[in-house]
Amino acid sequence: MITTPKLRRHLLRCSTALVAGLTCASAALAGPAPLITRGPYLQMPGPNTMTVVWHTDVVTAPASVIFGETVGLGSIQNAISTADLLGGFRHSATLSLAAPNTTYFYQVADAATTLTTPGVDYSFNTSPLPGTRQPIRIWTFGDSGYWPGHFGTEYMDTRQAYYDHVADGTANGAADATDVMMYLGDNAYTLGNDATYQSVFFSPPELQAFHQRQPFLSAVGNHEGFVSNTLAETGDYFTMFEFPTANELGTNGVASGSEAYYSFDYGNIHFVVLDSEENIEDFAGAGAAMLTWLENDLLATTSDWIIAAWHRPPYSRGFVHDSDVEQNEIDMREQVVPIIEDYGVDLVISGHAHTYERTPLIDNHIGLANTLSASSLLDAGDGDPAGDGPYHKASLGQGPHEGTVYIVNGAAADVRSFDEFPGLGMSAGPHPVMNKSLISLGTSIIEVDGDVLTGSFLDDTGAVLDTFQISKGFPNGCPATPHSSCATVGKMSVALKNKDDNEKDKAKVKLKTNMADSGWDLSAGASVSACVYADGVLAFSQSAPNGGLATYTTADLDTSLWEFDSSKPGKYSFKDKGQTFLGLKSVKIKTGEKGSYATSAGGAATAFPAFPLQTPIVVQFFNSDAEECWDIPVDESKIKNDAEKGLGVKGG
Amino acid sequence: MKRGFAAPPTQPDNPGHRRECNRPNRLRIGHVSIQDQRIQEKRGLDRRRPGAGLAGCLAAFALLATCSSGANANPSFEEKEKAISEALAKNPNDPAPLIDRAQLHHDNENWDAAAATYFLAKEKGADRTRTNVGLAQVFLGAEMPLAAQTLAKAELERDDTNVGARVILAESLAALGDHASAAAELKKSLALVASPSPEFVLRVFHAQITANQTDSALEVADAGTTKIGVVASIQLPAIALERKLGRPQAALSRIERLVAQAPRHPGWLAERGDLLMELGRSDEAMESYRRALAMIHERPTGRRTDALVNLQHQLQTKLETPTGKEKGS
Repeated sequence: MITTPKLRRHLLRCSTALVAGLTCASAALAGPAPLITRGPYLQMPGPNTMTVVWHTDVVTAPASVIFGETVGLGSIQNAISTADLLGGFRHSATLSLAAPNTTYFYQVADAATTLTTPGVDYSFNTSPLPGTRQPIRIWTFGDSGYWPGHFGTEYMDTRQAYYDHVADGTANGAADATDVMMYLGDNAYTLGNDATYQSVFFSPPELQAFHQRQPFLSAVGNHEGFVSNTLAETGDYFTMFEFPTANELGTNGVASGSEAYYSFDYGNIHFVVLDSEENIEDFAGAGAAMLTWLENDLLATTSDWIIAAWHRPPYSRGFVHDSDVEQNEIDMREQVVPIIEDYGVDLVISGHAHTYERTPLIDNHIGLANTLSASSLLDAGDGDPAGDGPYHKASLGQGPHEGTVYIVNGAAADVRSFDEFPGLGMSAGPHPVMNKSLISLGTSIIEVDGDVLTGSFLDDTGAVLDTFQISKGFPNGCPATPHSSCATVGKMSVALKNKDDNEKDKAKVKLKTNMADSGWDLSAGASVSACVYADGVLAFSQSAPNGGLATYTTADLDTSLWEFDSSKPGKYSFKDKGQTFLGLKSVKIKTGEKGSYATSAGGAATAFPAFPLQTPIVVQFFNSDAEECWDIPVDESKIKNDAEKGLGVKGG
Repeated sequence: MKRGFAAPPTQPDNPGHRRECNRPNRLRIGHVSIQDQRIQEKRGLDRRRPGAGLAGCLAAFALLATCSSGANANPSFEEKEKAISEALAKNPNDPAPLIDRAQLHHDNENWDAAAATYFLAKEKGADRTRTNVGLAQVFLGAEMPLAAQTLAKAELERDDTNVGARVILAESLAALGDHASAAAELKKSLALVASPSPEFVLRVFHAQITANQTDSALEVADAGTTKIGVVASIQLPAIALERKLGRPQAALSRIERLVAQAPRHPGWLAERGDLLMELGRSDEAMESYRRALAMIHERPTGRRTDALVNLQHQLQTKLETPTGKEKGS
C-alpha cells in the first residue's frame, strides 16, 4: 500500500489512539469528515463475489464496506486503500458473498464514519452459478465517452432511452432490469485518462446512480490506449478498473493472467473480452499470449452460449474506421476470427466505429470486403423473427463453424458517416457483409433465454431499429427454415387437400424410416413434427402434441389422448375426435428399423398455406425428443402443387 | 534475437494500410544531428543489427505511454496535437505538453522531432528521468542502441529500481548482440514488477532461452506464476521447455496445475497422460487418456473442432496400443 503524508498522519493518529485505549474513530474525530470523490462503483461480479471501489479525499483507516442480504447489513470487509490521482485515496474491497443470484445491500465507510446510507440505492445482485439457465439481459454501451466541444450529451440520451425501454426510466429500475453491463471501450474522450474519466464517466450523477447498482465490465479502446499500455497493463485504465485475471468470478474457462483480456461466465453464457490494441498489434510476439489463452479458454468452456467483445471490429466501414485499411482490425479478423469461429462463438460485439452495423450469420470471411463469398453467408437473412426468421445453429453449446453474428456498435455517444473525412483511402458504402448499416445513435441489448438469443439496437429515441435472433440446439417443432444435417433415408408422403370449404380440408402426412424410440410414455407424449418448406420458408407444419396426461386431457372424457400399450412396445397412438389441436385427428408412431410416423388432420384449423407453394419444396420430419430429423428428397416427378387442389408430395 | 518484440507482420500490399501504432524497421533521415549520430554509431559497430520493432511500448513502465492512435489521417491525432499546442500557448513554460508531443512524435517514428522535443522539455524543467527514458526509447527506435544504453545506465545509477530504464538497457544490449546480459537485465526487471503481465513474463522467459539460459527461463516462469498465478500462456511454453530438456516430472508438475484449474480441458489431460507414460506410470496415463476422451465424447460429434477430432483419434490410438491394459471407450 502506498502511503501519503495524509494517510500516514491518519494512521499515526489511529495507532496512537489504540495505544491509549481509544478507538480509531475517536482518534479521527479531530480530522475532517471524508468526502466521496468517486463512486462507489462495482467491479468483478461473480456468484460469490463483488468488488466495491470508491474514492475519498481523506480517510481514517481502515476504509471498509459493510454489507448483507438485508438493509441491516451485518458483515464487514476492510478495503485496500491507495493514493489516487485526485489527491485523495482509492479504496477497493472484495466481498465474499454466500449466495449467488441474490440481492446484497452495502455501505461504504471508514473507521470514523459511514459515507452512504444502506438501501436500494446501494445494492447489487450476485451472478447466477455458471451454467444456470435463466433469462439474461446484457447491455452494451460503445464509444460512450462524452467529449466536450465535440460530442454533446447524446450519451445521456441513449442511456435514458435504455432506462425507459427496460424499466421505469430510472437508473435503479434499469439496474434491476440489467444482468450484465459491458462498455466497449473509448469510454472517455479524448484521452482516456483518470482526469477525463473523472469528469465524464464518474462524475455525472446519472451514471453514478447506475454504477453504484450495476457492476460493469469493459474492453479497452484506443482512446484508453493513449495513456495505458495493454501489453504491460500499466496506465490509468488498469488503475481505475478491476477485471478477472485468475478466474475469480468462476468460469468454465481458463485464467488469463491479464486484465487486458479475460473471460467470465454469467449463467449459461461464457463471455470473452479481448484486447484489440497492443496485444493484437504484437500477436506474433509477446501478444501471442492472448491468442494462446483464447484458444485454451474456448476449449475448456462448456457454456451454451459464447459472446465475445473487443473494441476494434473485424468488419466495419463506419466513421473513418475501414476494417480493410486499419491493421488492428485486419489482425483481429485474420488472427482472432478463425479461432472464435472454430470454437463456435455465437456473437461478437465491437465498438470503435461510431455507427451501428450488423452481419447476418457468417463464417470464414477472413479477407478483404470484396472477397466475401456466398459460402460465408450461412444465413443471409435478417434474422428477424418477424422477417426472414431467426438464425439457427444446430448445437446448444459450442458448434464449430455453425456461424457467428458480428455487431459494431460504437454509437452510444456520437454517430458519423464514413464520408465525413474523405480521402482517407477507405471504400465507400456499407460493408458488403453487413445486413444492417445504420447511422444512428444507440446501444445494443442482448437477451438470452435458454436456447434463444435476441439482439436489438435501441436508438436514442427509444425506437428499436434492428432485431435479430439466434436459436440453438435441436428444434422443438418445426424451425423457421430447413434444418441442416438431417438423415435422408426413408419414404415420405404429404397430402394437403385443399377444398373450397375449408372445413373439408384434409392433411395427411406419413414417414417410414428407422425411428428411435424415445421411451415415450403417456405422461410425456411425443414431440414429432412434419414440416413443409416452400422456397426455404416454413409453409405448413403438423406436430404431434407433446405433453402428457395433464395437458392433453379432454374435459369430457378426462383421459389422455395418447395411448401406449406395453404389450405392443414401440407403438404409440394419439386420437382426438374433437380435433382440438390444429385440426389433428390422429397420430400413429411406430419406432424401430421399420418405424413410421403418420398424422391425419382436417378442417379449417389445419391452417393451410396459399397454394400453389413456391418451389423448391422441402419436407422434413423432426423427432425432437430423440433429436432426430429426416429430410427425404422430394420426387420431383410426383409433385402436385395446385392452387385449387393443394399439395401432394412423395419422396424416398 | 529480435530486438524488442517480434517484427510486425508484413503488411499486405495496400497503400491505404496503416497501423495506428506502427513499429516497422525503418530508419529515418531527419535532422543532421541525429543522422550524424547514427552514422557515427554505425561506423562504430562492426556488426549488423537485427531489424525489429521498437520497444517503445515496453518502456511504458516508466512513461505510461503507448502507441497512440496517431496516424495522421485519424482526427484524434490532430485533436491531440491541437490540444498540446493549446496547452503550450497557455503556458509556454510547462514541460508536460512537450513530453506529450515528444511521445506523439515517437509514436509516429519522427525520431528527430521526438528527440528535439525531449531536449526542449528538459530545458523547460521536465522530469529528468522521464525525459531520459523517453530519449532512450527514441534512440532505440532510431537504431542507436549505444546511445540508448548510455542513457539507460545513467538512469539506473540514479535509481536502480527504474524498470523502464532497465528494460531499455536490456533492449540495447540485445541490439548490440549481448543476449546474455540482456536476459539478465530483463530478469532483474521482472523482479521489480509486483504484478507483471503475462506478456512481460514471456518476454523475459524467451530472452533467457535466446541466451541459452534454460534454467533461468524456468525460474522466470515460476516467478511469473508466483506473481500472477497459474496462467496457460506461461505454463505451456514452460512445459514444452521442460520436455525439451528431458524433465518429464517437472513438466508433469506444471500440467497438473493447469488440469487443476480446468479439469475438463481434454488437451491438458492428454498431455498429462503423455507425461505419465514417459515416467513409466502407464496405468495413470491410460486413465488420463480415458478422461480426456470422455471430455471429447461429451460433446456431440458436430460440436468437435478439427483439433478435438484429431486429438480424439490420437487418444483412441494410444488407448488401443499394446501397452494399454484396457481398450479405450
